[in-house]
Amino acid sequence: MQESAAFSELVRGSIDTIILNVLLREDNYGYQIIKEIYRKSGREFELKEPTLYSSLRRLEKQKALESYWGEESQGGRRKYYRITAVGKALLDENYRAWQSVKSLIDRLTERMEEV
Amino acid sequence: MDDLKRYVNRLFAGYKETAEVRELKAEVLSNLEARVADYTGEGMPRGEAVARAKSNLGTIDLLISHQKPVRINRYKVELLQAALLYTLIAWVLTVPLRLIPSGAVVNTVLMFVLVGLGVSFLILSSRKSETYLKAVAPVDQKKMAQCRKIAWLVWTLFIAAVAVFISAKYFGSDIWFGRPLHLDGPYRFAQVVVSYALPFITVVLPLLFNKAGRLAEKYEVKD
Repeated sequence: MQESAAFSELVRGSIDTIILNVLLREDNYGYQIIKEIYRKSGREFELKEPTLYSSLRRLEKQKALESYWGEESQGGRRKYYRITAVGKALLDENYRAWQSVKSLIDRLTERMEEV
Repeated sequence: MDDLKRYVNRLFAGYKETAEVRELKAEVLSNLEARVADYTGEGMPRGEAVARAKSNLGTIDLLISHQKPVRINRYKVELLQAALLYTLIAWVLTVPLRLIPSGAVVNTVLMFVLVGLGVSFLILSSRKSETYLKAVAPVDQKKMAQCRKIAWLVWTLFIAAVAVFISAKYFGSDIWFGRPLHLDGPYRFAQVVVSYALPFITVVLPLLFNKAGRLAEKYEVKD
């Protein structure tokens, strides 16, 4: 897991999108979201819990997510999050924005052989 | 699982138990438990699992914003009104104390404060424009609670110090020089009583801090 300031700074802008994308597949609760991101990143990136909570709260405020308490399981009650229509639209929008930013930054930061 | 519960309670120790905080506590605890169960499931000793889960959580300060949006101008006007009322009460209470020189000084000072507060209150409350009344600014409620605690602490120390000082003044000559305190008449007696009672009038200051906290909640913008 990379820990440089530049790395965290770049990832931070996309945390909301990453979480929305995890929840697009199925409703999920906090620790499982972290695990899923860790798995999908090829064990490269582990989301910190405080970052997760602040992102979830932000998304819930924007009505991109809804939460509900799950049934009592063997591990106790868990708070699940569900993506809303607003959230899906936001995910689409963020995804497109990221795609164009990605190619833009690539073009602007590539080290050219010829000047 | 009790150690995790205790840990979460400690994390949130400085927070007021609002519905929001209670729910976040339950969520944080359930995720901690899930993480510990996950680690121990992989064969990690429980002690180590708990320690790692805790270190991943770090500090809770990022989780809850203490910066609450408050209708700042309406808040200020009502706080000023409260200050005005408290000072008025203090002034009325000290009117009879004018018989004693120190009482007269305090009463006069309070009158000037009263006039000053009254004028600023009139100026602020005369502004009625929509934008002024609806203006929102963040208020740090944790810092406010800390200030409130400090205000009460300072006030208590002040009262204690003044009481010691006054006692030294009146009874010191008895203790150190063997000259007992003479209360030669009701005026002298009133003088002693007043000099003890007078400092207590400053209780309006920490009380105003309490009021400020309540008003910040009252004018918080909830969405």
